[in-house]
Amino acid sequence: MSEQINDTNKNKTKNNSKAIEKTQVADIDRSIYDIRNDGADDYRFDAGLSAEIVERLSREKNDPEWMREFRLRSLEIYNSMEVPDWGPDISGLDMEHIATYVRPKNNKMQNKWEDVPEEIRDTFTQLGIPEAEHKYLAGVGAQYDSELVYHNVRKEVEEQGVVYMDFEGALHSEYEPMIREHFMHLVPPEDHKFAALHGAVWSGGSFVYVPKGVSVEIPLQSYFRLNAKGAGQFEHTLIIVDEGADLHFIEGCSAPRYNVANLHAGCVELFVRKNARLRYSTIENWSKNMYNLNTKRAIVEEGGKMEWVSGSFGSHVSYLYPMTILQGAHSHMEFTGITFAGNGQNLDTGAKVVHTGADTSSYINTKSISKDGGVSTFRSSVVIGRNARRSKASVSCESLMLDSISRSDTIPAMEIYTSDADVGHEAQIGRISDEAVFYLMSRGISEEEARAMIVSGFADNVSKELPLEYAVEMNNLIRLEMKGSIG
Amino acid sequence: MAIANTNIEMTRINPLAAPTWHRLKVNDTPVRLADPADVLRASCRIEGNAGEGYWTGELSGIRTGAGEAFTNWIRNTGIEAVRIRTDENSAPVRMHIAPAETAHTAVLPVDIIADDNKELTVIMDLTDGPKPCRGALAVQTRIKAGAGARVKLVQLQLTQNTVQVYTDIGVEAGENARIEIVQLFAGGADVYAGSEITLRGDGSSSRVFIGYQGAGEGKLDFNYNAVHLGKNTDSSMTVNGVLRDSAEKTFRGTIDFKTGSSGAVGAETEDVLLLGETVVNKTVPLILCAEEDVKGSHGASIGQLDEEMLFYLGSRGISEQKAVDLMAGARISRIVREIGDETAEKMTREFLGIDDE
Repeated sequence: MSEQINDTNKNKTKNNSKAIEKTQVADIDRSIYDIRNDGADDYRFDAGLSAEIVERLSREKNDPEWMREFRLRSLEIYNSMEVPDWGPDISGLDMEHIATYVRPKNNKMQNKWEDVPEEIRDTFTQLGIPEAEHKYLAGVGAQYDSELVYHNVRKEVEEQGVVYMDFEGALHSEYEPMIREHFMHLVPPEDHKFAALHGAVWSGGSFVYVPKGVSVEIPLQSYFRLNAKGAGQFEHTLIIVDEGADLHFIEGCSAPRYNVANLHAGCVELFVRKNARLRYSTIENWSKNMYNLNTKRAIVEEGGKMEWVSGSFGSHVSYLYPMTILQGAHSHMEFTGITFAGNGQNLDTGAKVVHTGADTSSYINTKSISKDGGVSTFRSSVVIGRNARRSKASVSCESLMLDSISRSDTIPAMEIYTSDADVGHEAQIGRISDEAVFYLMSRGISEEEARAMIVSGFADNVSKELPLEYAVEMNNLIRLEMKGSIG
Repeated sequence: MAIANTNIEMTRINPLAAPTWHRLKVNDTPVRLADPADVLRASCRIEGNAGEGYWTGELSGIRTGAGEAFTNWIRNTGIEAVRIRTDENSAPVRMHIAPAETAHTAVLPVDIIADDNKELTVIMDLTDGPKPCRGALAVQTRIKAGAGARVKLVQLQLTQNTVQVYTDIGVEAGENARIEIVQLFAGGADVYAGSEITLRGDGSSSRVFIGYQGAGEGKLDFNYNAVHLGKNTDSSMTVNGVLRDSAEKTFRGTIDFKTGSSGAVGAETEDVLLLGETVVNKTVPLILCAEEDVKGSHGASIGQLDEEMLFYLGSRGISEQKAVDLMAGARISRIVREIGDETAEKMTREFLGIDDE
């Protein structure tokens, strides 16, 4: 009898594993991110990039003609551009070995989890997505490799007129004109080589439209899972928050680890209309064989507010600098970020902001942690245009070095084209205070635990901004990274 | 009169210690340097204990802030360095440097050696000279400071007619050496200034004070690096500037903690007052770090005068223009006070037209 009870408890534990992990950090296990399916039955394009592959993808997607042409033009731009020579080395990324499209078997998108193929559903269940949806999300999109496998939005949110669709579905719906008007207008393929790559081979992603004056009380979430080995994920996210509307959108991403390079070159375009507010939160936990060359950009109209909350934990190499254009007068941007670079990681992250409207303001606040030979670079750009009178910008970045085999660089730039502006910048770099560790140890806490606590405290700029469950998950990730940090 | 040989290829100087987005145009600065064959030696009058041929070594191995391309250009001119070395005389060495009268571009390399535990102050003023020449003036200074040596270099750019001024500094500091550099750029020319201080010896330190003012369509382009190699090294950079009219300025300041520099501390601050409607200010303050046990910080404040201060001064009967001039002068005065030499301070204040406070 008692065994039965134990078994029942075990099952409960399994079923509620995510919830328990979120309250008992000591139990967390990296294996939840490393679940992988062999993908033997997946449909995938041959590795490499050519006009033929792009055409094939376009046919596969049943693209409208303008999109087919857009893809081909983007490919030409991609071929004409150089890889960046100022950031981390990406010579290990060879497009000849990357499959640009992988579709899981039975890939039809579902709006009920029970209809999602079992092995994929299991993956998302272990990542805690269905449970999160049930508890605190207004809608969820789940992408597996190149395709959305699940998409659902709460009825009451839908009834408010909120549109939350898979991107391809939207492209073939009455929203096609809206997509055409906005798609890759903020991030044109000419922007950089991997924006061009995205333009050529994008698939999957989400489209969100929040009508005027609508406030979505609880967040929407898209989760991107790249399971396939040697593949790329190129999802496109387009969000339009109309006048006076309000939205919190959460993006999560992860992948199992392989010994070959994987690539993520997604693109996020956000339009924040007059007096609207958008919060875009990301906890990125790609596997450490991932090249994360993602592009995110927002444009904010008069009185609008853009808030970024960003946690970068995974990837082998990251180039990630969410950018905001403060176009409208009195628009505002806040970027809160943390980057944790461990062994084998070179994470080049930061933010960019361009003030073009008058009386605009921005605040960038970042933390970075380097450990076990990891390289963390904070890179930023603040531009105050000639007409952005009375604008204010402030940048604050702090870096923590946990050992002397790691590296932490801070590379900010400020460009000001008017005298009528106020720009502040501060940066600090340092180590964990021996006194703080000693104090915690004197209270009976182990050194490893003490250092993990201090690092979690250091990251509180981000954890304070996240919904509780995500903050706990972030702290779990930090604790995982800190395991074995002593000796 | 235009600078000669404008068909010469562009040379990229003042390279940023770690490159960033090319679009920002701060990774380096392209300049058109004269054909080395056409360059003459700058006029230089020295007061104090220096003399050419006083020693025969050369310090070409010391890196400078303007970068290799600039060093190669200087080397290709074939112009020998003025050599200065500490002796028993503790009085400052004064160098009055001006463009050669007949040359469009004049160059002066200066090598300075401070022997172990010796002190040396070198004060350079860069002026137009008796017959103004609308050309370029370039001074490249290398300093080798021995263990426990103290070196102070003051450089005052007080030209009005010279079109371009290049100042480039490279320093290597031995154990417990103390380096102090005070530079004042009064404007009136396009200024390209580089500096790299390598704190190689344990316990070595550097303090750098830079004051600049830009006006008209003047360009100011800076690249300052503090490289920490030794343990317990200490660097600071204090930069105060005023930009008027359509002046354009780029300031790159880098604190670079190399592996092994445990216990090092580096700090950098820049305070820029923007007074012209169409000024362009670029500030790029880097911290590069490969060592755990260090403390690095930088701060920048860029903007206009505090409105409350203007209001307060207005309530005391001071016009807004006068208040702005006072506050701008105060920022530069802060750097002038670091010169620490009465003669040079007086000369600078007179040139700038700022009151002694």
